[in-house]
Amino acid sequence: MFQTMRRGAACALSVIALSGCAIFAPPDDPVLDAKITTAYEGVAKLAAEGEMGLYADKATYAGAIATYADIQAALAVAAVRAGSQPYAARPAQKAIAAEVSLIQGCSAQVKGLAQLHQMAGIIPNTGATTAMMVSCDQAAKAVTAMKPR
Amino acid sequence: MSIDFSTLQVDNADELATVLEQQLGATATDWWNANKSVVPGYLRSLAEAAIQTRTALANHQITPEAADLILHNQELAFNQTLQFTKFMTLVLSQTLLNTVFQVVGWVIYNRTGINLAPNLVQPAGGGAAAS
Repeated sequence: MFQTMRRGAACALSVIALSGCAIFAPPDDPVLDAKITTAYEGVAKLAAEGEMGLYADKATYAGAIATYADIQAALAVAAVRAGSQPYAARPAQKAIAAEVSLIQGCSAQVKGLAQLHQMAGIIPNTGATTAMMVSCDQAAKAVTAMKPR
Repeated sequence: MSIDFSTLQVDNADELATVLEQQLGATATDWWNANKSVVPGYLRSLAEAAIQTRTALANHQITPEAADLILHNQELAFNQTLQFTKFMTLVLSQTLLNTVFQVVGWVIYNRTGINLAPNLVQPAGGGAAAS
């Protein structure tokens, strides 16, 4: 009985005084992890193939559409999962919004590369793939930074 | 400086403030050392890419339209890198917040046996969680 009361009082106190102690990181989400990993690996492979000249001919775009679509699908799921994470403290709330925006930025870069591919092909060493790699690396790092430590 | 939280005993606000100051300083330093090279690395990569694009355009390897699209993507990535630094600042502020409540949580637990922050305070052998 006493124990129950003590626990109740402590809970109330914790709600008032220690609500800030809420974990930054929402509970680990294996789906989010898996999707961002899939997307990042897809992006890295795409960039490497582009820089090796595999897509220098814009006619190769048709054959690569499925690759772009796979990456975009993984990023779309990652963005939804990241955006629906529970949060308990204000910095975490803002950080989740920023995390989602970084994932969407990666997705915009994949779309940008697809446009270039379709329009002119991807010519190696013309600086065509770096923006996508940088943006998607940031998205992957953001997901990692939000994980519980 | 690393503190053995399980033996941390604090009698007054001055002592608590001192411990918090030490812990926050250490946390911020660790975070900064782990992340300071990340953003310059992105900027360097994007700068190199922009020069590659300029050279390719000058050498007629790519059309002005293609160069325009590539540079637009690079511009977005530069902009996102700025957003990324803001994100990392938010991560730092929450990490510091956690540090504060870890210290406060231990200080309370060591004196009362009640664990108000079970996600941050994890005594060996469990300990009674309050929630």
